[in-house]
Amino acid sequence: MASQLLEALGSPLNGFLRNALIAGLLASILFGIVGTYVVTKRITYIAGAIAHCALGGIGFALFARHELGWENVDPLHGALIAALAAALLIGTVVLSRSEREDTVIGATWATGMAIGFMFVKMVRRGGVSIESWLFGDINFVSRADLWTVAALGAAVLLLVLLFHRQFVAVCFDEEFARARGINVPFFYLLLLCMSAVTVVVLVRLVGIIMVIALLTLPAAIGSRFARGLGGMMAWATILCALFLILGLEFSLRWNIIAGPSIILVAAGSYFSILLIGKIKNRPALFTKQDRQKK
Amino acid sequence: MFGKSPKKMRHRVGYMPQYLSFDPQFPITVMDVVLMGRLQAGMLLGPFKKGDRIAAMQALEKVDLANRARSRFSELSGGQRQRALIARALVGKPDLLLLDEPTANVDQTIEEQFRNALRSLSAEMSIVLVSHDLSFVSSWLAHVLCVNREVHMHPTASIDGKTLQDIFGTEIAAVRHDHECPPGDHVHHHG
Repeated sequence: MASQLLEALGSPLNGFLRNALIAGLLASILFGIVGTYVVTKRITYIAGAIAHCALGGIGFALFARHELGWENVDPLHGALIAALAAALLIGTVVLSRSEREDTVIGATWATGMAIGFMFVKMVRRGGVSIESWLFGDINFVSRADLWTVAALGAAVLLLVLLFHRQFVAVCFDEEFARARGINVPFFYLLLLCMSAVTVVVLVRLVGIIMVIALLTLPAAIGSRFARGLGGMMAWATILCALFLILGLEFSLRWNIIAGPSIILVAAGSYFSILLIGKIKNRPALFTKQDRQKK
Repeated sequence: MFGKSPKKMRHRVGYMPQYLSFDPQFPITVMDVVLMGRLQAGMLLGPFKKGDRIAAMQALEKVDLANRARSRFSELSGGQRQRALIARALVGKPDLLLLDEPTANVDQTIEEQFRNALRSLSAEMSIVLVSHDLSFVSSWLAHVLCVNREVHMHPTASIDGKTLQDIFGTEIAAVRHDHECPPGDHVHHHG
């Protein structure tokens, strides 16, 4: 079975596809690592709200570019600023423990999208469409985007290398981390900001609405196989790259839009593994040590 | 605390929580759980060092769990988890070990093992233990602080029927006192 993806990559006409694939593979490392923190800390919904809030920044950037004539404004930069602002806002409110967490998440989520749609509908020139930002479009991934992905990825990776121990402690047991003198609020906010950056990195490719699935599903599957967080990150990275490649392949083969194709591959794998796990009636796969004991 | 503010002396205290709100799907090895006890406010950057791992292994040996260091924490039994959490509290080489209801969630056999482990540790450090189970604490601890609005300190040897009555008796009497109404009054009120 010849791969449509390999064939398409070979064609010189497909610079965008090549960029999309490179961006996706680079981002897989990021998604595997940050996705592991997000899943174990159980902040999938906060990360989801942050992703949707990015639309506010995209909308404003498109408006500023086409109506106000700010030529240098890139929607990706708007997305980054809006996502970081949402991360800090939600994080601060959650840390204060004064409001209901899920209500705040929902409110921020909707506000970000409302701002985005409002500004996009105010753009009268240039035939701007928001759809490609919502659902992703591989024909959008430019060489400049690649550099943005690489730079943001490097920044997040550096933070992980420096503070992995603190993140693990905060994810596993906040109370104990506090007792050891770890600045839990700081690392919690930092984790949310890293999720914001990570989500923005792949917004071009899979879109705002679905990016959260690609962040969390590979890590969720990885947690069933890995014994530690390092292993979970490795599993998640490999699975994320695999879902991207398979998703793009199916997209070309059957002429499906790329973003949904990638997400459906990820979700299909996740639910299949859940189902297999349920049939075997055990919460996690056994480790080597267990098998030796039997 | 130790002559300085508690914040500064935090690294000399080992802490074990009453109950770990623990996600059974959290993939983490016993070793990595124990290593968390090596974290300190001052040391920020980079991975754990070899010295940290050696200390973690020694702490696991003390609670008789060294052979499970590479296992997933979620695969341990309740008692083993409890001991792993003690190892986590021990690995920072504390001078003071704080235990909050350490046996609240384990069965009798484990409680017995746990008691033996603590007894040998108490030679090396001070242990403060919070418990609601008087029979558990009084048989082997040196002092009991009873906190019932007021704080009373008792050497355990002196705990007898009289002391117990002081501890509980006052409380029971207080409750009775509050609710005691002359029956006549009551009837009259409703009538």
